[in-house]
Amino acid sequence: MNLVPINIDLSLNFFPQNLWPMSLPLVCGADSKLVLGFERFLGLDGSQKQMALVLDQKAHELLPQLYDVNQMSGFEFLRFNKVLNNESDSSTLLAWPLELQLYCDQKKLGLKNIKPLTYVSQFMPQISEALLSLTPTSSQLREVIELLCDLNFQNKYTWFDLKPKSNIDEWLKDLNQKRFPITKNADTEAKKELSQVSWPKGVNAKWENKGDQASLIIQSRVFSNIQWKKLRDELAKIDLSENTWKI
Amino acid sequence: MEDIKNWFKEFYIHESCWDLDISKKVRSFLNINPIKVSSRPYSNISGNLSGQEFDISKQRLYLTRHEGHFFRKCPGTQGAACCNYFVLNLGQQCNMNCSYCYLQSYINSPLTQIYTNIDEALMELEGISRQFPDAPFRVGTGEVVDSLSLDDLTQTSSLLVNWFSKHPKLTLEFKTKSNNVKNFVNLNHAGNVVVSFSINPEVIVNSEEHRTASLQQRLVAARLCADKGFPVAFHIDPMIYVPDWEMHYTSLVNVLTSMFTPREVKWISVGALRFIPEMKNILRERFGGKTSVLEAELFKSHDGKLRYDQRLRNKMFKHVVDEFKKADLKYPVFLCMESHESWLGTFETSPRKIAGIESFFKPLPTVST
Repeated sequence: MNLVPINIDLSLNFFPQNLWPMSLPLVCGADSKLVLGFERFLGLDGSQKQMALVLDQKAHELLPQLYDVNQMSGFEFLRFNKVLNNESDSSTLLAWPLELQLYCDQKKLGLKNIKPLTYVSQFMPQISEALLSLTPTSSQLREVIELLCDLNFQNKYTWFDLKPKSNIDEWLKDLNQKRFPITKNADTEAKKELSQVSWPKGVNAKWENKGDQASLIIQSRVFSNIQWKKLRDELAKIDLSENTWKI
Repeated sequence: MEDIKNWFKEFYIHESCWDLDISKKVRSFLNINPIKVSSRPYSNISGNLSGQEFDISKQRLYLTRHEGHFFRKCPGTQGAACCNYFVLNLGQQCNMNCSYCYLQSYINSPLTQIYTNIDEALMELEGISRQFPDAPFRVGTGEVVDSLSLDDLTQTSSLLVNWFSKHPKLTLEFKTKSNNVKNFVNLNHAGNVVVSFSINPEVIVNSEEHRTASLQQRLVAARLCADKGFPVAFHIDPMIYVPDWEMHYTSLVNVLTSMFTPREVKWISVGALRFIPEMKNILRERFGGKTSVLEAELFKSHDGKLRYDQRLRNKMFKHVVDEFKKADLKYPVFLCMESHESWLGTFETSPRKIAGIESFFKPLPTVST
């Protein structure tokens, strides 16, 4: 291992998420390519010359030892394989703008989460712009990508129909309504039914969807037996229509 | 259905199985020369298969021994009423191509495997029937391979029918989407081999169940089995929500009930579309916009699988069950891999309280496998 000034070859930069913790970049001796420390290739004066640690191995042998593919996010993994020239069918996904790729990596989206983007590439600039401006959380990002992919397979929506109208929450609501119309309409009807019921004072009744189960949740605090009997009698008077649970 | 003689593009036989009768039978049947191998071909491919690898695996045949147990309890699904089903796996992968097939998320070997040591499978069953002489185990061969679609190659069905005729306490189920019953239908049997057909309305068969027998062909084959005294069964599973689904499923039940009396039908299981979320990517890759399965309104269920909303499932199940009831109350209908909410929503009771099917749900002895 030597310490040498070097003109760094950056062709292996796959924009890794985990930054090299040491102060010097790491270069492989055999082919003079930078394998670690891509983020600090510039010297303080902005020149591309600086000191680097040199390991006596070829880049393609060294890189897999330095980066754990099991820890990589989806796009990061694809970029890593690309610089190593490993066989993979990644060209469609790696055509997405690097900025969006890095955002997805930052949100820890795995390969299976980003794969649906393969099928919405006709909306690439629009989706990228929307996602980067709305800055969804990790779970929101996964959900939007899934929904856009599913809706696009239905072949009945243009980007005008799918695009966000305001914030990320509203966008998700709109996409979910389009993706699950039968279920969402049934929920709307159920909520309407429940809103017309005069619930006893202190009773909180709400319609909740949890996965494949939709249910009515009734909550109340009861402090005495008298209060309980009163509540029970009042609840007994409520006659909910069977339509509430129908779809 | 494709002609199975010309279906496989690659054919491998493990060297230890080369001279076995079953290998000779398959070799003489197929129009392709086999390659003798000392280990599993494509051993570099493992883990989840890509869509392309999965497609290719359907046309690569590998005859090999199965190591380990053949007989095991159906894993069912967490939180579902268990119908005490056992499976006997005699191979892996299927030559047919249903869009919703769970094998897409299950198989991690890039070959269609047929196990050559069926004699050992039968010895294992023999041991279990001796250990539990009174236990009415139901055993199916159609979990990870269709029971009959490759039967012309192996002729396993006749072997099994003969074996089960000597073990009348046990029940064997052939489960298929083919109409290939010719190899066993004329054999003597003990009435304990149930020939079951997975069925769906023709519109779904055409759009989702590729390379399978048509609905009509399956029902004709079932009729032939019933005429020869074999009990028949039907799996209306997975039900798929398509436009006019009520009409399609009504007509399916009408055809079925017009062709079979309740006495001829051992059971009718009903289930709805379900699969693990991880299967969506391979489905997209393999079928894209050509399947209604990707349009289905599915949500994560208690066991992690995607299912229709419970209300929709109840509506679909109740519709089918009511149609059977209209024809005759005695059709033995039950739900497959469904929650107690579904049982209550459909039958208003639990499976152990429904006459005709209650025996399936009674606990059986635990078999260590």
